[in-house]
Amino acid sequence: MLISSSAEPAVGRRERLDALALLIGGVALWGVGVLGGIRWQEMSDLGFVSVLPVTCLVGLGFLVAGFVRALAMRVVVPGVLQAHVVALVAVLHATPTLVYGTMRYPWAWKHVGVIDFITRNGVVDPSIETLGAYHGWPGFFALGAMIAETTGIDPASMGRWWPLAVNLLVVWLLSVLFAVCTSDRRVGPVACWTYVLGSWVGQDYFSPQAMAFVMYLTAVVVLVCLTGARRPVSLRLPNRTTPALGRIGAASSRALSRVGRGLRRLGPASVRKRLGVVPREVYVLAIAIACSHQLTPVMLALTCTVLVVGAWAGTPWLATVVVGAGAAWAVVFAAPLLVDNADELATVGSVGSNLDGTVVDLAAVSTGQAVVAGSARVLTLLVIGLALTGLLREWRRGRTHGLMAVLAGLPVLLVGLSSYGGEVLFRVVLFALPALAFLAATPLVADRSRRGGAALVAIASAVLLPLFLLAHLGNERQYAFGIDEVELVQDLYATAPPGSLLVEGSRNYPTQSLRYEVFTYVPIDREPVDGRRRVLADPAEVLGEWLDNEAYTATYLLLTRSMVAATEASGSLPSGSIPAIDAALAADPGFVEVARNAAGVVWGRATEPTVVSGDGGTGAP
Amino acid sequence: MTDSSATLTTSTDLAGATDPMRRGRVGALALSALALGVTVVPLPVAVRGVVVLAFVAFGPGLALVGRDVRRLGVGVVIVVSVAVSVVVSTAVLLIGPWSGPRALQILVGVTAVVATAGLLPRTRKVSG
Repeated sequence: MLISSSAEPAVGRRERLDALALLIGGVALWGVGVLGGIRWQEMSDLGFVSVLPVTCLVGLGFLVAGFVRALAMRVVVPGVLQAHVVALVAVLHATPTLVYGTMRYPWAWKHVGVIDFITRNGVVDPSIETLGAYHGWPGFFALGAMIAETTGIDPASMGRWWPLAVNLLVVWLLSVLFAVCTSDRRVGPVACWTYVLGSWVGQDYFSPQAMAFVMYLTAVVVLVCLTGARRPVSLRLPNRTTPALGRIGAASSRALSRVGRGLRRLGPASVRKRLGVVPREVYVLAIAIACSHQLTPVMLALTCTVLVVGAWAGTPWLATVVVGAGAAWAVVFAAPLLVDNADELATVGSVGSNLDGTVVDLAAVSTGQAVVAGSARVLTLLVIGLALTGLLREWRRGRTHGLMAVLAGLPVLLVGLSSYGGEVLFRVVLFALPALAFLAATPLVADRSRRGGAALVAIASAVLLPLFLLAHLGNERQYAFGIDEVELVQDLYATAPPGSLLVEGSRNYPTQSLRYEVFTYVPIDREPVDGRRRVLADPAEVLGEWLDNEAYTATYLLLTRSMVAATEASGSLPSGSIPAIDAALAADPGFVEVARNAAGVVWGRATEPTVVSGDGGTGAP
Repeated sequence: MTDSSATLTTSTDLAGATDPMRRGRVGALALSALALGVTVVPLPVAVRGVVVLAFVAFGPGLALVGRDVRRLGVGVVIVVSVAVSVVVSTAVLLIGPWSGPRALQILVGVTAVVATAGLLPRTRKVSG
């Protein structure tokens, strides 16, 4: 007895040390791989995976092994499991930042441009033609401008670390939420782990969406944890052997009574009393979301309404305030945008047309990109499949997880509202993933032996992790920008006179990040097919015509490395088109090289007609 | 302590000093003072950056969040803090005239008022 009681803690300590050693070893190996230098410019169209050193992959394997070891411990220590989740987030989301040295994603640079607009002009202009939506919901940009002006920090520098910060916060919030949804101490950390591996959509970049999503999650966490019904969120039926029909009847009855309770809360009471039931922090979050993003207030309103009607949490007054805040903001402050985009209302309910263009046509992209897009789809389907399995399995065991099922299914309604610029499916995945991850974690560990659960998590990780690496980091060839490319573009933006025409190979570069409103942009790859054909048939002639347009104070043509990658990956221009354009202009004396470095070139027109001399040289421009 | 007359007194007992809510609000006031200093005194970018980011990330949240929400962890405090900063900076932008330092000063003011209001209820009636 004495021996066993003293040996038990020793075994627990050893297990914990094993898991932590694997964690530290994994991070160290990953660090060695990153510090050893990653030649990211040599990425193939499979993305970052194609240049990841073996040490990094082994490091990831150690992390998975450590997490599985921690799950198999006799005594589950959530702290050790969460440490692995945090380490996984850190290595996955800090690595691109460390390797590239600049902010990823071309569209994130537009957000830097809007912050720059505010710092220069001191106002927003919802009627502005370019990037007007950002001016209608300026919360994120006002905060960015305040920080940039008072600290002198470049917003792009903040943006570099933004994905890491956002993912760490999300994992923190989810660990709080999941802890109240289950009594199994393994489910929460495994759900967070699944979330990290399933979160490929890349909506964590420097953006209003990422900020609003974190706020949305926080509001849900506060509501569920603090105003939730005084009962376990996961309901256990009295008899595990109840026939299916009986269970359906019981579930329907519970759902009806829940709706009834929700409706009864609509009874008369003072406004103050009704509002006071919900923590004031939720109202602040709702207002911040309403003034920062178009879609998230809709999602928050849907969620609050369902939480109230289902009697899970909140009050009708909360739902009213949330809906009212979002609608009032849109009507009062973003009215010009609503008027200009009134035709968008016609897409409400048009599920088919809203989904058009959201999914990549695999036949049109390169082989590597088809693999990347396929990985994303398989990963999403696997998580959904696991979640459905979990939901069914839990239900058969008497745990309905109704709240999580609703949170997972509710975002699908967004598809009926708008195409959201062809991104609506990504947003659906974004908002549904936390609940899907929770449900997906349950069949892996709930009611399973510690070794059985650990083995299943190991298998799931071995499948999900490679898919995540491909899906999330597979487009890095076009989303990664070197310091040289950023400098080339920023120099052009800083020196080009207002009213200039900027012809671009593609929109895929650190775009519109400075003085964005004073230029006109013409991306070649977005021209009609005939226009593109004409350019490629005779670049010097056609682009010369474009750049000779006297309506502009100055004209430039910008070609960069990431444009080459983007046009080849998407198939918007034939492979080799941009280098061919560059070569054609270099051979034409009517063009002058305004700037060039390893990342790209800026072409301008020679100021005077050039005369070809007898020896084949060119006259002075 | 055994005074039979009812008096108003500010809590300075051990429980008050170790109360995380009270400490949080005092911390919010301290961060506010530092952030205000940054807008007045010229300092290196690194120092200004650390102070302002720390204030935006924690100050308004520590001042505003209630005891129950605080229990949910520092992550919630950070998000609420950023939300308050978003609301205040947006209000300044829309009402104008805009300047970053001005927006920060108003945010500092709001934080200080809320933190002070949160501390005031500690002044309580003690009766013998």
